[in-house]
Amino acid sequence: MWKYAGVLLVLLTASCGGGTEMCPEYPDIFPDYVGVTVPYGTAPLRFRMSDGNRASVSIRSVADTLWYEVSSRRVKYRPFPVYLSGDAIDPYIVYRLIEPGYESWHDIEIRQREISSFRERTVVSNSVNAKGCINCHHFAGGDPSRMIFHARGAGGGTVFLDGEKASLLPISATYPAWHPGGRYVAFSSNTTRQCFTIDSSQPVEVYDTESDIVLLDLETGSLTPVPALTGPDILETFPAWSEDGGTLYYCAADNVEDIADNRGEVHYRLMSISFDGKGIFSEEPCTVWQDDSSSVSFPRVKGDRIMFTKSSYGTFPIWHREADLWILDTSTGTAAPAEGLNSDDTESYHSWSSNGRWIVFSSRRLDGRYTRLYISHCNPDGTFTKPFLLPQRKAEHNTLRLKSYNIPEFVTSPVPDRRKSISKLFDR
Amino acid sequence: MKKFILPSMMFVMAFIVGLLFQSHTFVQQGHLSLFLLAPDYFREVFGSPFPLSYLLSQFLLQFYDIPVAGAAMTALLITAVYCLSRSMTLACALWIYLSLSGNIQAVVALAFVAAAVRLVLWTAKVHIGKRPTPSWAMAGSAVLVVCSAVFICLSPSVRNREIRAAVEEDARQHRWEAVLETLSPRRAEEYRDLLPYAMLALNAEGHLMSGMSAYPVKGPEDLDMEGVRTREGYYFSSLLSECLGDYNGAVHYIFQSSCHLRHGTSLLTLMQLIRYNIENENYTLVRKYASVLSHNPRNHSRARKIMEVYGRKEDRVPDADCSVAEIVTNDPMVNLGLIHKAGITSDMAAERLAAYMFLQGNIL
Repeated sequence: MWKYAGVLLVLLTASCGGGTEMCPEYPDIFPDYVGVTVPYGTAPLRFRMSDGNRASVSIRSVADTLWYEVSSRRVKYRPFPVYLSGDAIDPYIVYRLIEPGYESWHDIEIRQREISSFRERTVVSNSVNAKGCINCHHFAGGDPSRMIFHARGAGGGTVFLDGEKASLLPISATYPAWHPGGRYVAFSSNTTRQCFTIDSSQPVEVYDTESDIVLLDLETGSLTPVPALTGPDILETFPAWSEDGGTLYYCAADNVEDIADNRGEVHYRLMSISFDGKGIFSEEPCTVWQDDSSSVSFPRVKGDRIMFTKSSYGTFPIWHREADLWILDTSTGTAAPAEGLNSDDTESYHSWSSNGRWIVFSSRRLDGRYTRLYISHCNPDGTFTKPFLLPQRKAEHNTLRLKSYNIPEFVTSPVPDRRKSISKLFDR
Repeated sequence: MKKFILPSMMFVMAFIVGLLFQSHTFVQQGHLSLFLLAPDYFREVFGSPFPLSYLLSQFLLQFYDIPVAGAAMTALLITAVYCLSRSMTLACALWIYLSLSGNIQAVVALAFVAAAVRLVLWTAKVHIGKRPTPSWAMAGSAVLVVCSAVFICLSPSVRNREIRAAVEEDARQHRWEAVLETLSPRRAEEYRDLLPYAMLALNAEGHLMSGMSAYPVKGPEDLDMEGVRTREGYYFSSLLSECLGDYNGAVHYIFQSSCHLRHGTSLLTLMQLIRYNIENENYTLVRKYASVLSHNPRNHSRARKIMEVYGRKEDRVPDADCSVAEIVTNDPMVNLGLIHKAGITSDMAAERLAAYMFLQGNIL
């Protein structure tokens, strides 16, 4: 009997102790965090094996690198690095969550997410304006105490939150840009339409039939068109201030007839116009960059760099698979794709961190329909590291969430909870 | 033994009435429900009033796509309310309310309350219902149950909901003969807003031009629900788009329809999106929606099978230039031409176009 017990023990030991295969490849994980660069203190990077099998993960910290050792189904993969950057990142991102249909919606919320944790909190929801649309949130220089957003529908307008003050102005302008000095806000005033395609890989197109730039003076309350940026022949949109407030950048395109049918002919160029800081623009705008076969959207300025979204045509790149992020060097006037950030699918809205070291942008690379947020580090030489998907408590959360992330903006501290004061604006 | 007579009677009557007169309604309720084991779902539910009753009602509703299950669970709920409250009046009133409104959450909530009261009384050792029910009271309760059953069976509101639910589900399943059987020319007089379904069924069967004269069709507006900005209107438009082969349109309209639902989606939405994206060869989205659906206990296995079948399929190659794609208009007749121009041809579209032209007086 003892002889057989011994044989059994040997067999059991042999089956447990051996059989782990070493694989020289990195593991195929979702999200793909292999080789990304993250800020210190970011929320844990939770991932799973792409094939759905269970995995065991151990993490070793060596200097500024975390080494992830992953084993799955008796295969031990090559450890992959995650690099830690000492560059600070703004601690919160604010974004809108909306169903990707865009023409209609049910619940819309503007939410803030703490980057160092998985905590997500509602800043404002469309329950305040009877389920109308809320959109185009914007912060003055990333300062969460100074916020603008639009609330459409009956009794709607533009909500201004400035410290403790909350006001609702009957302005129905579209894209805002708060002047660094704080007194002025440039808006584009757009007449926007949607059209839906038949049997195309791009199901929706959004276009403007009219758009101009207007300037709001918060001290006087006056909203005036910018003379050089007004008129039916040119479509002006997407205002963005330089950091010193002396230049307003924007996008402009020649208007065309039957714009829906001729949407392929609408190409926006990047323009600039000087501003004196006291409400006066110079008379002549300048072309900063243009390409007759492509269109510029969402210029965002940081130092001598402007990041923008480039697509084949039009003004709503989120529906364009070919849309990519580009970087313009204002000192040389040359632009090039932001290497490492782009994919085969849409890259669109983006936001610089306050120190210019990080970028958050929207991408549809996961499934072509649901926009997700990616963060990348900008090296001192202007190159970008491999972007990483905003970490979630569970990897599958990225699949299960049936809303798109819209207009991600870094903010330097948590947005104060002003839901009650916002709600009161709509109770009147 | 006597104490089981009334509950048994309640259950059996509710079950039979449900199965015979409300089966399609149950299926529709199940389809329009949503229960997911997912963080966003729980956040939304627990951020709203009465989350527990809502959660339990949605959990039950996911099984309502099996009519027998729907009838049994409804009967069980009503019977549970009676057993907990010992009030046949309350149980029958709730049964009628549930049949007319479809608001199962209210019944679940009341069942919770009744259970809680029972628990409190039991803890306090207060005994209710221990005395035997006199025969006259039992007879009265039985009459109440029968009267409630008759009321529900004969209620125009219940019948209305059942017919609408039947038509929607039969159309979704392409059971066109069943649609035409439900929407006979005579019944279509009463349900004019469902006339587009009858026209769609005739169209699918290839008899639109010959068959529509029997129906009370007054104009081209009876062929579709263009401009009907309700859940039902958009849902019909998604089915119509599907039948015509315009799957982009079908996806768009099912999103529109779903925005009228509490979570902006439902089990039916997910199933339709899977279906349409398979036709569009957009398998990444098929896998996504199947993954979401797999977090619904009722549909877990079905979703897993979908993911196995489409797990490795590649998406269709995107168009090189989307600026030349045809775009839909607000004119259904023009859209038929554009669908044809986009290369999607079907006898249905051709017959439909002829019908529009005829009704507009363009064909003598």
